Amino acid sequence: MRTVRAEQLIFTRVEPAYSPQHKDGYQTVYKGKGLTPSEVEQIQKKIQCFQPKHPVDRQQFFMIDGGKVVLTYTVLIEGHPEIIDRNQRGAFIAHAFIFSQNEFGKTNYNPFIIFDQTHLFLEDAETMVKEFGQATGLAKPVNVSMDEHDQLDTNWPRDEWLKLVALAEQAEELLRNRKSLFLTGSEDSIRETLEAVFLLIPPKQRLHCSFDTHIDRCPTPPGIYWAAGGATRQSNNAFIQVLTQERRVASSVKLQTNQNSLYTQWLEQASLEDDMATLIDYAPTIQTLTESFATRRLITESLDEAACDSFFEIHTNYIRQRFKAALTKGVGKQLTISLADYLWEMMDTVDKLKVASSEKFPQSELATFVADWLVNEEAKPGKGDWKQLHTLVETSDNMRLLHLTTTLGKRNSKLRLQALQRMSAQEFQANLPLLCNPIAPADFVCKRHLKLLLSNDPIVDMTEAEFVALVAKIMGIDQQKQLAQAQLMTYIQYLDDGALIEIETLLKQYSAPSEFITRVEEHRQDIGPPGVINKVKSTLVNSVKKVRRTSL
Amino acid sequence: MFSWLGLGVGGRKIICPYCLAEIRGKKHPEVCPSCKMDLPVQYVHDYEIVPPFFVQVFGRPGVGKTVFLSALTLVMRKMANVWQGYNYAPATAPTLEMVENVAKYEATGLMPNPTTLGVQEIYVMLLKNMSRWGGRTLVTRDCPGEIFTDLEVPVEQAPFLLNAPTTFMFISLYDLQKDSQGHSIDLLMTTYITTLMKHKINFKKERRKVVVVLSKGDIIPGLPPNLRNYLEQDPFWQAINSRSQDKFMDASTMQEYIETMHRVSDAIRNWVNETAAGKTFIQLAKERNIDLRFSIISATGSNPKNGQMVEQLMPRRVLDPYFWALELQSQ
Repeated sequence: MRTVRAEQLIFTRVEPAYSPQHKDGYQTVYKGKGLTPSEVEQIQKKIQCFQPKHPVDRQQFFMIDGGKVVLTYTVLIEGHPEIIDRNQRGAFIAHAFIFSQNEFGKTNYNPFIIFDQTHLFLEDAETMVKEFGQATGLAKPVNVSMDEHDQLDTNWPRDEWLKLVALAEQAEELLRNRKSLFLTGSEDSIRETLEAVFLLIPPKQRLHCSFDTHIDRCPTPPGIYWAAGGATRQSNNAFIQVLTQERRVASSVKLQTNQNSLYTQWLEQASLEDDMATLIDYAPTIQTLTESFATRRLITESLDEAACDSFFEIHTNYIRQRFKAALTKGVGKQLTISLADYLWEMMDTVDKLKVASSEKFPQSELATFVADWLVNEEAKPGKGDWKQLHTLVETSDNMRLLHLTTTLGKRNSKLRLQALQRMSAQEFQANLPLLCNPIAPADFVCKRHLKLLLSNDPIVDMTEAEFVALVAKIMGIDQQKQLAQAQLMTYIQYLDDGALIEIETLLKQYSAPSEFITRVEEHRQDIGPPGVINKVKSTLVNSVKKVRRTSL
Repeated sequence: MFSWLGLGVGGRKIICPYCLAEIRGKKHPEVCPSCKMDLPVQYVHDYEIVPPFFVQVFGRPGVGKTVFLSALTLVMRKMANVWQGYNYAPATAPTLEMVENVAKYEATGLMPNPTTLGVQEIYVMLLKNMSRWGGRTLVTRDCPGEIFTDLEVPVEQAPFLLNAPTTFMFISLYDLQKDSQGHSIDLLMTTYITTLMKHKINFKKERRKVVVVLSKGDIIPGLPPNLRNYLEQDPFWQAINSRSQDKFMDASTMQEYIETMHRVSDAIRNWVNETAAGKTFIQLAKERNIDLRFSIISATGSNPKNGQMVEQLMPRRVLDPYFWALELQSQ
């Protein structure tokens, strides 16, 4: 379970026996040790007035000096005669959680993840005293869980919610000019509107969108919160009126949107096709992507595919541009020209986006793709390209690519053997399509994967010279027992005199399974003594064998 | 200090009821240029006919400030039974709501919740054709009692304290008698004086007027019989509830009433002066040239139980502090 740590503060009305200062009246009854007097005062100033006409719950979200983030939940409570008010009048209790900005960042700056969990907040005096003690004045820090919360299902007309989002993006400017939104409506519609806007704006922007869902009868001038709410319209023309139940922004507003923002562009264009609820679903992924495009952070978390498709469709050219830039960093400009189209086609949208946004191609993944490219496309890199690829091998430690570069590029038998020994069977299998075309079987020989090599059908396409080299290699690594393998045994009969002489020479140096030796001897008998040129017989026999080989 | 009539060389002058800024020039301004609040239409239109008078309430938690405002509104609603030609008009939405809630309060007897901290909504009531005073607009704001418990009052939560010449200082002798925290009436006066001095109020230049309101009069222990009798026999409450034709209070009746108020004020002063705290209270005011008048009220008529009236609501003498304010500002 993911949690986020918070200090607490409780504000309500108490009788002297329950007050840490032994006085009656509304006051901060409990507070965390980590809160300074100035912080307590700032919080108290915001929460101290709550006089709804009808029972409602109030949520507030704001920052205090020093950057701490405060979430409060306020409810009306019964007037407990001993704890709250000797005259048993009703009162309210405001329960605040205070987070450091870093800590709050774990919620993606979304206060509704916390507000949804109403069980976290105090709702009566007796529970308060049970939990925090009588007149202790102290509230210990807590670890607040971040459960998944319910999907929001709301729909505003496009033009109206775009206005709200633009107003949220202008939050700092509005506050500087002492303006605020005033949301009129029911408790639910106000809260739903705020939550929808929060989900649609980039996470960091949420910190500037302070709110109080219920300011009725507590005169709160514009400029204190980005948005204030209430059941009745406020008579101050510095408030931008938003009618949440009618789902519209009633005041005429001058909106400025950042047209250079990838996010804003996506929002405006995607909204022509998809409704608000769909965009809310997509928003977290799009926000992650745009943040990554801005900061070049490599995305490691999973992304919603449909959201990625939506973003990709709108920003294809830009994404491709960034993708190429990432590729160039990995393999150089020249190779990018050859590789880009192949990768663009082979990679899925999500992976392309991760590469483009970070402008980084994870080396190991790139190496695998390049290996695939070399194998599947029978690519022919130039001299300089091989050098670049070798650098890629060094940074990626990709054995497939090492095998290929030391075989197709500048040959290096030691490194090749090392690559073959280290690669998995799957990786070995992935390079085998190049067996005999153009990579000779001997260049695939290693103890670890020899059986796999020899059971591979394309091996029958090798030339006699390749056969001889293969046998020599197998004998060289002391794996002669593998010579009894069926494909090799069958191939002996297709050897010409020159190749057979070489095999016979090898048999003089190395041991071999008896069946292999027997087969060699039989073939010798077939084609006659070594060096005797029986061109006709030899040519005829070999032609037939070639035909047979092909039909296999 | 305000010039009530708002006439001057520079054109029309109006005091914003919210932020107390002077607004000059425009004939019928709609918005205060200082605080951007929409100005009450009737307040602006009838400013010279029904000039405002600002009153600050002052008093510890639970002394009855909020209940007093409710009771006063209740009585004012019915004064057409007493003053011929009288009418009233709430000028703001919160005032209208207060008037509507008062009916509910009268019917249910449910005590209002304690006033919370923070700046409260403004109460603007146009009162026309009051016998003796004509038309005046009462402008006041409720205040939470907690702000009066320390040595200095946070003036941002009591916006009229510095500029309003008249203050209603609520004292509940009943609660003070049960108090174990060492509170006393002289400390309240100290808080008042300290706050004003902190904000450079010159007591010699501007004589401050404090109407001392002894609240919960029906349960004050040891109240002299004459004062108890005065409290219980409220002719206004009787008149507004009477069906008799002969109940209107003309100018001479009002004059008599005011003279009685003066005598009662002196009687209360003498009674308060019997204790050390009371003597100190009066002496502190005298030293600072504060004009003290005394009144006694019962906003409910009887003691509520468990936050609700058990007997019928019968406010007594709640008009007295209000009449004092009118008198003092007419001087």
